[in-house]
Amino acid sequence: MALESVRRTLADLPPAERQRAVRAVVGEHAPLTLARERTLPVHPVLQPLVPALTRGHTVQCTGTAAMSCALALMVAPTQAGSWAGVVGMPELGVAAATELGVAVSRTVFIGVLAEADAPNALSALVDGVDVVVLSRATTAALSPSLARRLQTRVQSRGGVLVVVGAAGALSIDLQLVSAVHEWEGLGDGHGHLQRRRVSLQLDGRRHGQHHGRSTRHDVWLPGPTGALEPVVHEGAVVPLRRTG
Amino acid sequence: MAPPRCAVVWSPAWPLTAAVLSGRAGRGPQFHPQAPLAVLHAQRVVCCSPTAERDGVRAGQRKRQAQGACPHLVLVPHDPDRDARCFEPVVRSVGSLVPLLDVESPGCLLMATRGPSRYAGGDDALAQRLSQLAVHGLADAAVAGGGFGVGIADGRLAATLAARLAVQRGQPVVVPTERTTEFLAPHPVSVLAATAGCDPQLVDLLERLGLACLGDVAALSPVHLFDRFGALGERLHRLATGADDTPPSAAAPPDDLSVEQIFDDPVPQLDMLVFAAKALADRLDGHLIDHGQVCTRVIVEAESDHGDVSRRVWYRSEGLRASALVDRVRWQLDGWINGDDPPSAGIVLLRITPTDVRHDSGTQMGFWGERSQADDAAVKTITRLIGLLGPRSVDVASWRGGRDPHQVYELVPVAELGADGRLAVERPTDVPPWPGALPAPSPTVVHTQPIAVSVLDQHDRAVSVSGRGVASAAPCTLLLGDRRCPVVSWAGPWPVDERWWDTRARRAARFQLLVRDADETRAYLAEVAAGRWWITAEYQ
Repeated sequence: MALESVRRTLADLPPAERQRAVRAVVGEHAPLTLARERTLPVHPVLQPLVPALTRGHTVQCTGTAAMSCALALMVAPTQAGSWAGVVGMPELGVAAATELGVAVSRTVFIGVLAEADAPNALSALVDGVDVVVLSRATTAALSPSLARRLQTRVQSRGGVLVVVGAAGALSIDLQLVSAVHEWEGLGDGHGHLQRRRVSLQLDGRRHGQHHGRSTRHDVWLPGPTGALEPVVHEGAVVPLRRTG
Repeated sequence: MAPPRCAVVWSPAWPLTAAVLSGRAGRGPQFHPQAPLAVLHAQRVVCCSPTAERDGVRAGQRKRQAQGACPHLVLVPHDPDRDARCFEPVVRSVGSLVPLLDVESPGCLLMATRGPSRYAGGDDALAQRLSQLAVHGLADAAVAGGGFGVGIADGRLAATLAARLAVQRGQPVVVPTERTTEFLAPHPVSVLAATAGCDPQLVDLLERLGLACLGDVAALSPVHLFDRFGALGERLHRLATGADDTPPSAAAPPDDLSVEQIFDDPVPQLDMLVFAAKALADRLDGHLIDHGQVCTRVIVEAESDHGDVSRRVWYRSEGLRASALVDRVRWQLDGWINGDDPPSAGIVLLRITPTDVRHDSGTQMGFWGERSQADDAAVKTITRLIGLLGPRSVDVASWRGGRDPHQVYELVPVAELGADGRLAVERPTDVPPWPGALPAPSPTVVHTQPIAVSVLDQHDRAVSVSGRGVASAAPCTLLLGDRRCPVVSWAGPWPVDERWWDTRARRAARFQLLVRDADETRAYLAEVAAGRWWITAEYQ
């Protein structure tokens, strides 16, 4: 009834006024959330590509450096005080994660879930943890209805799902495709792996939001200390000239 | 007000005794009591057997120092549940003489002596009887870690120190009432941290202020101590002079704090009972927090459908918060249900009654870098997941150190580290790098099961590594299943020769291989041991 009267009142107003009135009403009743509260932070090196992770989104990491990408996404949120949960990845290299900067003191690891446990365990996890990383095996075992329920829950709770590899029945908001350019440091029987130049490509149905930004970005993932580092284009090297 | 006269029955190396006992009962690995044994928690020695002590192993040492002092040291994992379970028969044995017991921790019993002493015919007779009963409670008296020390004195602290002295002397120690202060005076202030739950930093400060022993603290005016340390100073003075630990103006417990859960269907499983106890403890603790209080002594009661009752008093001077309460309930029920005299039916009633409650001077919440709302939510989630999936389902990373990627961090169940404190153990900053460890960056995928592969040289012969750590030829091809991947570049061999003195010896050489696999460049960590190649990790 009230809605009907509002609609009638609005219909009497001229179009310009009408819009302003609607805005006033909506602004009064919608809960105020700052843009910063609707996102999770992203490592500064990745920011040119992904300025922030929108809460409620599902991010897929694919390509040759998929695991490193997923770990790189965990770095800034865990350092900022959020918790992360890793499901079904007993093979994750924790040492590499700490070198990248993931706060492992705020990370919990859950083994491969039995099919009967998955619905309850995953919903419990997304309730209390901001970043949930799922392995390929975990997503493959999700039925379409469970996947939908899980994503609705993530959206209402404000977490972020990170999928490593194929996403199965989950619908993807953002996709990070990684391709390895080169590894440096390893020779022919000498040296050791030092750093890897990875080219990241942004894709997915939400990447339209990032108009005007480049969708391709090169980073050192990992850099020489194991952390994420920006690719700095060095000037041409001019050999020293002998004088005198 | 004079402190009540107390008796303490204490076993210094209870975790060891418990490990040997449970090994004999077939509930864990067997340990020989004469072997050099040490119980380890978080890379530090908690306690060690006399044989190990002779070789120079000391409580508080790091694992590597201990192994350096005694190379054939046998390490026993730390398991508070096992300690509590094995302690149950001792509690029952002593309980046949003194029904009202406080279990301070597994290995330590405290009781008021007024009645029992009169019954036994004096303090000395009581001490002898207690010592006999405690040893009698053990299924096997000839176990490691020495016997029980029995001390009787005025107040908790004095009785505990008397029990420590009794262990050294090998006979019970009884301190007369008029000599309590005199008895306490020569003890160093560090005993306050070890037995009275004082902050180690405070003890350190006292030492730096030149107050080496309790006598020095007692000689100060309580006014000055109060002036400098506030309520804490007042407590220090009371402890040092032998007055009772519990302040005379102890807060009366708020009305009817007892919480209980009645099960309509009898519950036989420990897990479900512990889960119910968690809810009870949260409720009780939440109520106490609302009043700014913490309980230091609780009675935990459980009753079975046939009327069997298990009733224990638990005490902790630091205060029992929810997680500590749940631990106590689990210890008690585990000892009862899985013990020698289990209840004949499922449990129908679980009750927690706090009897001593004090004001919580507590912890000040930090502005940052300390517990936050996200931490609380995460701890709740972990608890819920443990309830859903079982106690060993949620892991956290714990730093171990090692030469290979799979050794550096270990995933351990959350319950082992205690949900109240820090979850993961991060790499300590003061630790130098491991000799022979691989340089950063580390591989992002560490296979739980290494993948068997072949590595061939340019003539398709298998590459081998000699005993001196020299590769027979440069690796040229990696055979991954039926795929031939050309090796782009490689480095190695980096030999590792671990535990050569032991049956778990490992001699291997590691390589980093960069290969082309179907237009992609992949980096692997490979290992060759006994002529066979494995891929142990991948830089993904």
